[in-house]
Amino acid sequence: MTAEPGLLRRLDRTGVPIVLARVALGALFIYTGIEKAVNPVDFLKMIHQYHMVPEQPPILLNSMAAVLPWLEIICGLMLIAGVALRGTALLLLVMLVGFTGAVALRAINIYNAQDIAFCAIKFNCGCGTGEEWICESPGR
Amino acid sequence: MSVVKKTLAEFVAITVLGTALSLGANAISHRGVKLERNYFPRGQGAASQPATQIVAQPGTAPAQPLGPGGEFAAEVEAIYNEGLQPILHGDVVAAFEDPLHEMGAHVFVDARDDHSYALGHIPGAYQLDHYLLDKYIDRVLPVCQQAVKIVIYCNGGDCEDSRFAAHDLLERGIDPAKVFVYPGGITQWCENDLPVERGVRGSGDIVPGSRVGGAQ
Repeated sequence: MTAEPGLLRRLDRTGVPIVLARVALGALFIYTGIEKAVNPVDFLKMIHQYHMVPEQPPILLNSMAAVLPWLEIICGLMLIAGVALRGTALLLLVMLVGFTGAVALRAINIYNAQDIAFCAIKFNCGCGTGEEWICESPGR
Repeated sequence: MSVVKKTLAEFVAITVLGTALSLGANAISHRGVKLERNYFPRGQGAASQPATQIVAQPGTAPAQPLGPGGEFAAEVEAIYNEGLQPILHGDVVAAFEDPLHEMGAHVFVDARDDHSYALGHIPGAYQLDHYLLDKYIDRVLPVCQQAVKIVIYCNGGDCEDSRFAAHDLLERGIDPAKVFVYPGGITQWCENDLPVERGVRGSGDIVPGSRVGGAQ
């Protein structure tokens, strides 16, 4: 005798939540990708400000600025289309872990250099959403 | 094939194909990044003058000593280290007010992007966005060839675009002796409430700098 599955499990089995999540995440990546792809030189300036990739040879930074925005758009489209989902998700995960590490490192560098409260740190991460506080906006 | 193997295979395939597609898209896009171009030129190495030395300009003395401890010390040192010459605020104002400016012998070059330039630039400054060089260089280069003094600025402080634009000019044969980088930039200009021009060059829409407020 099997127990009646819970509501969440039954909802999950319809396949609707995963589709919604895929479409939402895919749309987010397409949006942030387009924000950068329309002006890749601005994106190049922002990743240069991280000082984590050597300036020489120039092709290192340049190809990051050229590829990353479009790769986000492509991955976003594939998430929505449902093609090679696991591989796409893994690639996005790898990129996100990289971006998160870079943002955290940069915040720590600013913290060490400027002697200000950690949550007072704010910079344009180049993520496509403009200038952001490193944590929640301080005291507001 | 196990799920793990299949996922990894997909990951590799998407990474390779996606990178190729991305490079293709970048190549087609007229705003694409030029892969071989050095967007962050640093010049030919250290300047002939040490950072502690005061730059002697014919007929004028710097308003303040340049170098360690002075105004914008770190920026001044960086400018020297790239083989360029700094010019401090007092001398920038003098160059601006000099009749030679009116005659086109003193030229101001704004190294910021379209948006920042339109919000407010030093009146009469030519725009030279280093990152979109092809768009501006043909207009600016002849003007600089005729000039006796060229003052290049960006937002001021740690912005590097004025230095990059200076290297663009030097690489195209402009005499290094007449190229000066203004480390205070538009921010210091506006803080001193000097006039700024809004919109395009020669728009005549001149307002006090305090109304624009510098770095945007």
